[in-house]
Amino acid sequence: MNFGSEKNVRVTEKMFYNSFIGNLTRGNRQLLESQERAGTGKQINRPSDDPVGMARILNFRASLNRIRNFTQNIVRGNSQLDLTDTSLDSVGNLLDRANEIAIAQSNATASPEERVAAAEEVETLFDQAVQIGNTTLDGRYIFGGFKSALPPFSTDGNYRGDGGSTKVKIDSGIEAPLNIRGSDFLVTDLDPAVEGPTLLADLHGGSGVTPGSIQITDRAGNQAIIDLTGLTTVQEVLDAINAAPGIQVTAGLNQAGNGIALADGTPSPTQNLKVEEVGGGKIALDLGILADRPGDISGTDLNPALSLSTRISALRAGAGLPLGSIQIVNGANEATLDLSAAQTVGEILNLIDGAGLGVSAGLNPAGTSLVVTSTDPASTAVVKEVGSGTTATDLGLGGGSDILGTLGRLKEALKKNDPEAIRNLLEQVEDGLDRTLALRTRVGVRQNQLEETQQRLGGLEMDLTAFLSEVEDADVLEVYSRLSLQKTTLEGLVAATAQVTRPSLLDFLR
Amino acid sequence: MLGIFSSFSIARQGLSAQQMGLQVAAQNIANANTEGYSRQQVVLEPTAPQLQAFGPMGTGVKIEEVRGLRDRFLDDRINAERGLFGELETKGNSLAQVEAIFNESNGGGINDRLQELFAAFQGLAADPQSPSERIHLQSQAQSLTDAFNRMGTDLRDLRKDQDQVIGHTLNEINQLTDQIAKLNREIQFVETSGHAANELRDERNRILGDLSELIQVNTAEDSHGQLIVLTGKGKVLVEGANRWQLQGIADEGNSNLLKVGILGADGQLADLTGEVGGGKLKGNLDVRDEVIQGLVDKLDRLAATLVKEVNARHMQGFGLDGSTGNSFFAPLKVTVEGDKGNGGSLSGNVFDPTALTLDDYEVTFDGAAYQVTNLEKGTVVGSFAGPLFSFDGITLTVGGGGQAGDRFTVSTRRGAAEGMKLDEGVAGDARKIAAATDPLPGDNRNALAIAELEDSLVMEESTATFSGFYSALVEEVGVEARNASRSFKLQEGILEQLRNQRESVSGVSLDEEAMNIIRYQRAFQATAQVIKAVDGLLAEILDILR
Repeated sequence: MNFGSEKNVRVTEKMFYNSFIGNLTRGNRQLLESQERAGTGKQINRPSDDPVGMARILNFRASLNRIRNFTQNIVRGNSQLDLTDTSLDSVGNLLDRANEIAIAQSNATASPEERVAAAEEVETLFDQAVQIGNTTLDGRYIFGGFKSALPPFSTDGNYRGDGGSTKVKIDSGIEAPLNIRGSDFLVTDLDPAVEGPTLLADLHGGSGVTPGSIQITDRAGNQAIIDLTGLTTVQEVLDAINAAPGIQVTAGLNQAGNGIALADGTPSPTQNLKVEEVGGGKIALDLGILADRPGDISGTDLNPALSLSTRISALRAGAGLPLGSIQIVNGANEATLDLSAAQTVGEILNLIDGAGLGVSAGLNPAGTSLVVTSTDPASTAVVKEVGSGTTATDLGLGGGSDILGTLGRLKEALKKNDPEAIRNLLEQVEDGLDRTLALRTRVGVRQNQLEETQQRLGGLEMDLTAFLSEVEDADVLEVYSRLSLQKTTLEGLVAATAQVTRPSLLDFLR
Repeated sequence: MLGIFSSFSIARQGLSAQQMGLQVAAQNIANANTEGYSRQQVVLEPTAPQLQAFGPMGTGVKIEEVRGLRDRFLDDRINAERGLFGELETKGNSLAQVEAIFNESNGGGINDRLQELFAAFQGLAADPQSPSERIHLQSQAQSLTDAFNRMGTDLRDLRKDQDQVIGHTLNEINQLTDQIAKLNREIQFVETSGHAANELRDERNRILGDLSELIQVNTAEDSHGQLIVLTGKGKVLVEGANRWQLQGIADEGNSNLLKVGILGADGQLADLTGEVGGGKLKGNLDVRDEVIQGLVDKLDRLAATLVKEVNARHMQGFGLDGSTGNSFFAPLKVTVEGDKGNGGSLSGNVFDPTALTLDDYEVTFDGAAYQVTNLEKGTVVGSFAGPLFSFDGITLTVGGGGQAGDRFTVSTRRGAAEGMKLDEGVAGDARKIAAATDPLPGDNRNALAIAELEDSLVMEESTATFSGFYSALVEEVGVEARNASRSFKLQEGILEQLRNQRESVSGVSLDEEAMNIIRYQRAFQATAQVIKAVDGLLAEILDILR
């Protein structure tokens, strides 16, 4: 009981009762607290038990959730990498078989009939390679880049995928690249960037755009309808938008170099920048600028196909190709061509066509790379590198990352019974094998990265779980001993009060 | 002969004095357990002596007064401490309820759901074509918005509960001041007729104590024993037999919750809210308008920032159906609250959700132009003539009829937590979730960009992540609740000590009263003996005369 500082106080019965009730309440309150701890097994049952501890618990839990989440991403990423590795391995096996066939059939003793039969086997290998290119995981075509909803390869080996690189988040701030694209090994995709001179007809892999008009509303609310009918190049579209009266919008190429960008110059904007179709057209969508946005518009990927006018500097998404020399062997004809002066794809084709080797150079049907075919029914044209150059491979003519092309040429050479070409193609088959091995190494490095991260995260998870338990969990031994102590104290208090009712004078007045 | 009869007279007085002693002892014992009762004491005094030949001779005993034993200073201190006790008790209890809303000790709260949302965006990034990932993300986002909604609603309900308690408290205060005023009148009546009004004073002090627990008051007693009761800041509640009633005023600027008004003699209500200095009323007002409102505001800011940041990135991307520019969460809206008495009106909409500051603004009209001030930063955003003006992503439209002095509060985050929901487009069609940066099915870049928000320092002026901000909020609630409960326990101890001190002075001790009974009983017996002896003497004398 709290008497304050006074010592000589009157003591009344009520003071005794109050004191008893106070002590009993305190005792029960403490017992309840300990019982809750014992019951939940937790040291902190509500924020006020230990506010800082509670915040730490939440932070630990957040970290743990994220680690588990990253681990899940890694597991999923691993399954794709495993499948990629298996697929690359299968392509390697196909190429080994192609290599055996090429070696056997390049032998002078092989008969034309044997070579025709071998050509059929190579055709089967080609089909298998296409099938592998169309591998799916959970319904996704893993070699199609971002175009993963449709098979990236047609049966004749044309690539309809893109160069999209998918990534997976494996740790805070770390996104690991995951996919290998079909254009990394099966076919070459020269992936030209959009430039001013790019023809509208070449956009979207050569599908072009639907003519029509667009309406642009700038961020101050000014509107302009721009008729784009009859325009042929991207530059003409940009000029038409820039020349449109009244609107403060500047058109240019987007940062990725694969589409159109619109910038709004309104000083204090009051609404969205809007690009709309006019009269049910779809040209705004086709040009990738259909949008209603509080800011500048960066148009979507217009994916132009190769054309004769495509400039060399626009290839590889605008990175360009350093051109050197190539050697073309077609039966008895053979020449080394220096392509370094070529400015456009058309110039390259002209140089090859004009060399008088009995070959015709052109674009493949998908508009992704060049092809050189022999016009002679008895020979197959083979394009080889000169010295340590990579020009032939870069252009998709010389094997390496063009495995389907290599198999196609091998099949042609076998059919045409051209042992010289078969021998020459051996080199390309080997390049293809090297390529699959290099990619498998790349996949292996990624698997290692995922595995190391997973191990690190696993260790971290254990540490964090221990920390969390330290803050969150009640020390069972301590809680139970405290609980029994408090129980004993309370029992003592009750017993004492019951037994030692205060002696009163009234007891003695009889 | 005179001597004998005088002894009779003395004995008679003695008998009634001892009877009074017994009666007071009986009264004390009867009230041993009465709250607020002060023990009484009979004060006896010898009557004035008569001068005899041999000197002054005693003439008996009289009852000077029946005194109540109380320490006025202690009573005042107890009443003052009860004010703080009431305030802390209310705060402690209310904060325990607030804390229950924020209790994440078992998981499943906003903290977990925030991470689940971002995990679902990462899951979508792992397989952007998959319908099941999209549906999973939809449901995770739904459960996050549900958690925000529930928490927002719970906090608002809690404010309403506090408001109801405030209404009841005002009624209680009125009843108590009413009783004090009545007792003032009765005490004056009793005391001017020369008697002690012990019980009435005890009762008045007890009621004053109850009143102090509801609202902090200062008191003074005038020369007639009338108690004057003033609020902590000097507004008179009771003076003599008059009392001024408190009445709730619906505050339009505060969701129609009650302000404390005092009904003056002129029948006008004056705002007393800022003058409530302590007591349960102050506790409820503080919890309602500061503690809970502060938490609601922070929760709204969290929800609004989440909506703003996720939408800003989501709108840039493309859905699986090729659509773009879609919001993920329902877009933030502008709320405009006009002051009572405004002539004109304003309406607002968001034209650029990415440019929103989420701060509150004050818009004032000086008759010619509208001046916009950012209330959080205290900076003037600009001055506009209307009828349409834009700033920080907001467009305001003037409704006409504006008068100089019109004042509005404009906010884009008010009610964001309670009203948070998925955008209708995304809720209705999971393909509209924009995982892609270009309209390609396997493109996961936008989903990754949104998932990146988990680690982004987007809260508290770019110093905290969403989940960091939230755990700090939970910590804040915990600290508040713990401080309230600790202060309450301390105050409980102080009050217990003071009450013991008062009990020591004013409480009834049964032992003491038993002693008194014996004392007065014995004295009564002795006095009766005196009468018997005198009676014997008289009989002797009468015998002689016979």
